[in-house]
Amino acid sequence: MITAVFTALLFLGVPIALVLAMTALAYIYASGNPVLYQSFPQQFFSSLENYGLLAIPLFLAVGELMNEGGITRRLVALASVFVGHLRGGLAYINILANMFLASIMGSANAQVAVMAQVLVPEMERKGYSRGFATATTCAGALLAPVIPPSMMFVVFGVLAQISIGDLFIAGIVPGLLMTLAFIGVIALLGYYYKYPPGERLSRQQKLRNIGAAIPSLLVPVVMIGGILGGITTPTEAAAVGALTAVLVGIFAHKEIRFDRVSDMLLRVALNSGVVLVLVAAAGVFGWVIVFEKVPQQLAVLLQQTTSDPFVFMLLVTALLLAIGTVIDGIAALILLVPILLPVATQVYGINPYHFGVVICINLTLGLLTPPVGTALYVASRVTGATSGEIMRPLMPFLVATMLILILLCWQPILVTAFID
Amino acid sequence: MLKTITNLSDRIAQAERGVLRLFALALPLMILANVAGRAMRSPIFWMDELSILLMVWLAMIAMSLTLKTRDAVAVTMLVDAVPPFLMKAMKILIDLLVLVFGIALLVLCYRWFEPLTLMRLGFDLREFSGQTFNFMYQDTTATLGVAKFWFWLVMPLVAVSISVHALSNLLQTMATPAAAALPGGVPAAAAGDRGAIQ
Repeated sequence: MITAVFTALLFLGVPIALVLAMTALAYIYASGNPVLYQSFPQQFFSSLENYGLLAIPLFLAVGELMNEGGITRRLVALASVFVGHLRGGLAYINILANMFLASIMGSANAQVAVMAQVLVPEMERKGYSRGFATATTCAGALLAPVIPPSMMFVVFGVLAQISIGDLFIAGIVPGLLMTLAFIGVIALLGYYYKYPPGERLSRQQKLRNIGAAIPSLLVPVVMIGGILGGITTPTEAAAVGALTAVLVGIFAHKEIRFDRVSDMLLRVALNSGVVLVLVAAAGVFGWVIVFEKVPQQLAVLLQQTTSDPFVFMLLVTALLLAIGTVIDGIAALILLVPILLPVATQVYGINPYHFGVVICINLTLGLLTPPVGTALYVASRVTGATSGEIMRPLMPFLVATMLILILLCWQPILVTAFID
Repeated sequence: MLKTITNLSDRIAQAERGVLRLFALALPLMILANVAGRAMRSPIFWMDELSILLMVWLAMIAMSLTLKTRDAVAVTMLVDAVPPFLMKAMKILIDLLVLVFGIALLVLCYRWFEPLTLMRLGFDLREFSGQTFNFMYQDTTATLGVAKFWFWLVMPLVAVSISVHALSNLLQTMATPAAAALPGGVPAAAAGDRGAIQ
């Protein structure tokens, strides 16, 4: 009955946080354990009493501030110093600039909205098709939740009760691998697409571009440096990052407009609220999962299939790719982590950091896969390219990400090398 | 009726937006103050706890507002695909379920806070705990030293505002012809601004 309530509410289109909360209420009713009713509001509240979660509004604020301060243009100019002269230069610039921005922003949807506005018109002007330009930008945005900071890692860290700082570090190598894979894809596609030639910058222009980007790069240096060096927690790093972003915006870029701060604050509050409420609802939904022994049942089922951690990871990858087409990112994470993580760590002995990074990349892919692919729709709305036009050139990038995923499933060391 | 409820819901939403802006500004400032305090070896020890509690308030109030604006994350695949009359029926059902949730939360909060029993006992907290075995009024925050129920009060508050917003949305959905675009009915899948968190 509980499964039926859950499925019906979910596909009816009830907000997912309420689906979780109402399923929990239905469970309490069915289980005849009315004491839980009294704890319900308290549990809903206390699921959020976690210091790590404070990082969410703060990282969102950093992204908003940097965006207001005109960072995107400067990062694109910086990327053009390194790869602008190549044939297909702008496609490479796109990926590289996305990689830089990913070290500041933690959400693929936000990043694709920002980058598509800047890069797609520019690429179209130079002769790239709109579909290819948008697809490249979508692929680049996949780096946002993998290269630290990352909203998904914060939520996973809180759900799994592991260090968010270490998760951030664990994301660095996979993020770089994905960047390399995307650059490889662009190079290969060059045989098919006949890219327009690149533009060679003068030495002076190169220096000017680098100089203009240095203040922007201070923000990721301060944030990631603070976390890597063990000086600040991710939450504190985000607050210091926000301060740096304000200072850079006011003194270096001189582009922050104070009349827009009010709107920005509201966006930060609402966007963080959307994620945080999911976490709160996960707290009460957790009762259902724990009392019904869902992970144990799943473990019995899986153990009949395989005892090999690699095969298990591949099965999870396939499952998440399928679920990711219907439920996106953090919502899927909240639903699945409490069920899958205990099986992964206790039955198959998988390192929780390894598991976290793999499933976060996996669910990020879901942001680009229809019928529900929020990042795909954001990109389509910003650029005017249809989902079909984007999907075709996007496929090679998605395949490349899947290959990286399989590699990461196979070789945990790529994730865990730099953490204790 | 529709107008009164809609006006009330709009006013509550206006107030919620104001509070959210304030909290979004306060949170980074509080964390920064603590970073500075720690650097100067005089951390303000209660600041972390207060900022966490403020964040919970922010989340709850944002939940109420996004339920009004229909920007909460939802699987809208089916509702977007069905013919207009069915779409309207589904949207009415969704609004109704949100209303049911708001009222259920209010009832649960009432059972949790037991305000009438507390009043009957003349606000004697010790007597209240003794009689009801409900210790919620005696729980204090770890470092702030303030009674926790002051912070928990956000739950009944948002339960009321969610109920008002949901009722307003429900009445509006019912008053809108099936073929017309429903007010605020942006599918969550395309709501890039709110969906910008993934």
